[in-house]
Amino acid sequence: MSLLRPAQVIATLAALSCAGCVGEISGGRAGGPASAPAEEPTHQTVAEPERAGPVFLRALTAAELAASVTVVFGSAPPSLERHFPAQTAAAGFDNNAELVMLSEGYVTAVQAAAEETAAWLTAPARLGTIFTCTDPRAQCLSAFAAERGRLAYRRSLSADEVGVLVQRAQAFAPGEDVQWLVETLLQGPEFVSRVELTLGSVSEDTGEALLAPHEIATRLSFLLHGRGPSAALLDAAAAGELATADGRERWARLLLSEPDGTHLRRFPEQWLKVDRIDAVERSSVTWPQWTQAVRAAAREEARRVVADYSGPNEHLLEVLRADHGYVDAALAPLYGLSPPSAWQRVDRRGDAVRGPWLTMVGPLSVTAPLDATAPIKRGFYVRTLMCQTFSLPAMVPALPETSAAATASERERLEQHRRDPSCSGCHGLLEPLGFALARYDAIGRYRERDGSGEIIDDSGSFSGFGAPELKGAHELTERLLEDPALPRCASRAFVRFAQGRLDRPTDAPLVARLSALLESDRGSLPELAVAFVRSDAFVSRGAP
Amino acid sequence: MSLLQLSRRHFLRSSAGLLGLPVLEALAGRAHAQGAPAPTTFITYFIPNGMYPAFWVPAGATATGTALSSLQPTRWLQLLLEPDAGLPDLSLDDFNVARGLKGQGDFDPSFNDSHGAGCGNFSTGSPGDRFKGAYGKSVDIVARDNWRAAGQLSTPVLNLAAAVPASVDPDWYRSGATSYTGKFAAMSPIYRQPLPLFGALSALSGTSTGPSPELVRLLARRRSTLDLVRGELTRLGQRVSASDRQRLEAHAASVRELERRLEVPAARTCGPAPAADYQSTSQYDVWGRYSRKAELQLDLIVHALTCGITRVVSFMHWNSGGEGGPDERFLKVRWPGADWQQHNQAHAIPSGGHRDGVEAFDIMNAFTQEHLTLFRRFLKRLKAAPGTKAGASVLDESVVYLGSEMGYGPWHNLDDFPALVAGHAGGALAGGRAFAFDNQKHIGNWLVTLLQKAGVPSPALVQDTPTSSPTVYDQPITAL
Repeated sequence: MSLLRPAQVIATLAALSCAGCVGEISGGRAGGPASAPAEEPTHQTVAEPERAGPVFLRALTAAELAASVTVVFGSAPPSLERHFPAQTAAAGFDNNAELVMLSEGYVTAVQAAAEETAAWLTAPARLGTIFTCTDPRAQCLSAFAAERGRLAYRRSLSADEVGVLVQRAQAFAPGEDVQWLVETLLQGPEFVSRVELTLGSVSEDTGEALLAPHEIATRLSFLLHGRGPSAALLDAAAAGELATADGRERWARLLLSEPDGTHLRRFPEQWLKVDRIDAVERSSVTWPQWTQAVRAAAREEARRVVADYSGPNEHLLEVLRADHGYVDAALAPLYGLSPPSAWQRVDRRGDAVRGPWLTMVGPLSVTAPLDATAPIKRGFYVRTLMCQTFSLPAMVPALPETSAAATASERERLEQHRRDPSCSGCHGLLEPLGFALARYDAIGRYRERDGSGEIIDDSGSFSGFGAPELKGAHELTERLLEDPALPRCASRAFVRFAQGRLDRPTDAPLVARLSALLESDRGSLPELAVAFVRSDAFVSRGAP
Repeated sequence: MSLLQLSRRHFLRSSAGLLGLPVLEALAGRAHAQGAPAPTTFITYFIPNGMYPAFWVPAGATATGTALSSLQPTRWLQLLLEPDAGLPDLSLDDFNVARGLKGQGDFDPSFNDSHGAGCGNFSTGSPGDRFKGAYGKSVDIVARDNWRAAGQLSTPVLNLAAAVPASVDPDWYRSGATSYTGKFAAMSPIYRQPLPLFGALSALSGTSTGPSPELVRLLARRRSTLDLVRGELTRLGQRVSASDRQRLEAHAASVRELERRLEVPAARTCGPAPAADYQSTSQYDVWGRYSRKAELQLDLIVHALTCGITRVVSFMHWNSGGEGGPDERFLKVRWPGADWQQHNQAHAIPSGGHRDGVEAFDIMNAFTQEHLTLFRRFLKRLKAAPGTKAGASVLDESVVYLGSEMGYGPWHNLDDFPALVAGHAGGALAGGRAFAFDNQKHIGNWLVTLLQKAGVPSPALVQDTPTSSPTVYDQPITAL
């Protein structure tokens, strides 16, 4: 649902922020009149040890839970995620521990997923794949509980714990006893949540609690695979292989090299708002070209491009300068290409119109609300990549709807923001960026003239409403990549993704190191992850 | 559309079907309550995007209530009084209508006038957070919990939403819920399709021999599992930080709620559930398909109430549109020459505006007419269904609240909320009056009034809003 006021889109977007803006400063808001918000404060870079900072008990996301079921039992029924309410994203990421709540609804969903899994696994055709032992029953159940329980709870179960499980299981008939064990393990608190216990070992440098080996394995697996650790990884942890930075790096590279080691891409996908493409809706009258097939293809292209820049030999930030894209039969017409018979890579090197991330149909459509191009929102998207956030004061007056405004160009309609000092503080940072993308319409098609036949001015600026400093998407992209705020912001976003929470001042040393990595030519996504995995922050936890 | 011919017997024989239900929450017991049973049924019925106020409450209505019979009927009141073949007529005495209830904007000023804030107002009296939802229990859950605390209720809430998909754009999801078990905790499951609900209800009704053996075994396993889980949570809670302990306590509270659902259903002979042979497989619904789905869901609600399977129901017509999403939440209506969504009309078109020659005003009203037609038929079925007392209907023993998330969509106003309350709450609620509160009464007070009329003990709504102290509504509107 859109939440904008009922007015034509440009006027609406303009109106929303015409009374000035308020800079959002990680967690709180500093009110003030019409002063442009600076970049969200990056915490001071000082020679301090890297800390984990507060670590919360993290309930699994629906996707993590479904993937973890497969770890425990080797297979799982399809689409277990459907039982769960849609995931809410916070600060850009859906794994924020503070938002995945163990509510009645969530626990109901866990129960439904567990029961479906149990029924599915214990169906006659599949039972033999997870439970082969036949006699004596108690020993069989005990072995099953110990083996699967270790994978479910990501630690070895004590003999007492196994004993309780077996005793309770034996209250049910053979067959149903296994069903009960599956249902119960998958509803266990230590399966449903990532629980890290404070065991007493403390870092001498930071005073933070040190993780147990199986907890390190759990962090590693969820970061890189989005699921609980395998038996092999738990074994390695128990053998002390994850106690050293080198050991963790070895395992990280191994996990990343596995065919399904693609979970880490969820970071750039969510950071760049690829998921949001699924939610782009257009009037089928105004934009008949925007079909479900096009929308799905736009997302697929974005995902493929992100994947191409998520490998060990690519710099992550180069995704913004992407030199290629992909089209299928649905998407090709929006790029002015002939429909191919199958997905096809498109080389865009030297292409003056397409190429960078900001020229792709997916990002262009997701940054154009409703049916207009909205330079404000597109500018906002670019500023967000630099951690510059804007929020709005209450009681924003609408821009007046005048007859002149009705015939003015988009740029002219927003002229009031330049004239009104209460608007220009924020809008001077937004529209001049969005104007550079004005030649792409609300569904990402390129056009050089507007509806009235006038040449569209795509000059823009980073610094405000003054003289244009750049022209078009390519120059905007280069300017963005030159800005030191970009790698800093990307690093902060990575910490948010990896830690499952908003970043804190205590993250500053870690953010600084990751940022330095991204500023170098070694800034690939896997290297970013490895750098984090090697850190002291990865193996410790501060008090929430 | 796929039509699945599924008999109750066939359904019950299918263990996969039974166990695969996302709806086993509905298998919660209809065991006899500890105390006197709740005297009434409590139903919330959400329609989106408000209503054109002049078509709702007649001119001349006052804050103290004016007899509807003395006022000129409005367009929508006339619609509610229209006959339907095979169903009893409604009379003006069957309901009260109101306008001028005051709401409040989102605490985040960026989204001051959002649908999300409005959904919170509809069911809690306080605006919801756009991303996270309501700040506390909604009115239906307050009814459930307070009745339970008094030993007057052991049945679950049936939470239905027509056309809400399983997965929606996360940013907007929360503004698509009206039922909350706590702060930011949307009620789940939401029955979005008739078929799963049919399955759940079929498992409980139409039998004189009690629940099936499969169901009894399932409930036994659940009991054992939840008991063990609760113990593990207690053990873990002693070893974690205070912050994490709060999360585990939330988990434990949720587990306790699931345990409450484990009462073995009593044998009932209320007849089989109406066949709900429909499950949408389309990503987009046009009106005819949508209305069929919604009406099947409403029929199943009537069945559940008749059988005593539940006494608290929340039903939501989905908002019907938005910026995006591949899901069927984007209900579309076929309109000559266009294919519009009501929600987008509420945004894109200022009052009096038009697109492609189609007046937004007419499109908005077309949706309202369809929503209210379904509501009318629902009320009539409640009126036709026998209540617990001789000669009384389910409607007589109900409080049925109809409302929306804003005054009128194209104005996006969070005041002048429209509302209706139907039913007689077992005699506690008189009908036949129109109220115009001129924004002098808050919707929270309206909700508390409904709780009071329904006989809910300690009727109050407490919302943990981002204010210096929680927002509390505990004063009813005495005029009602």
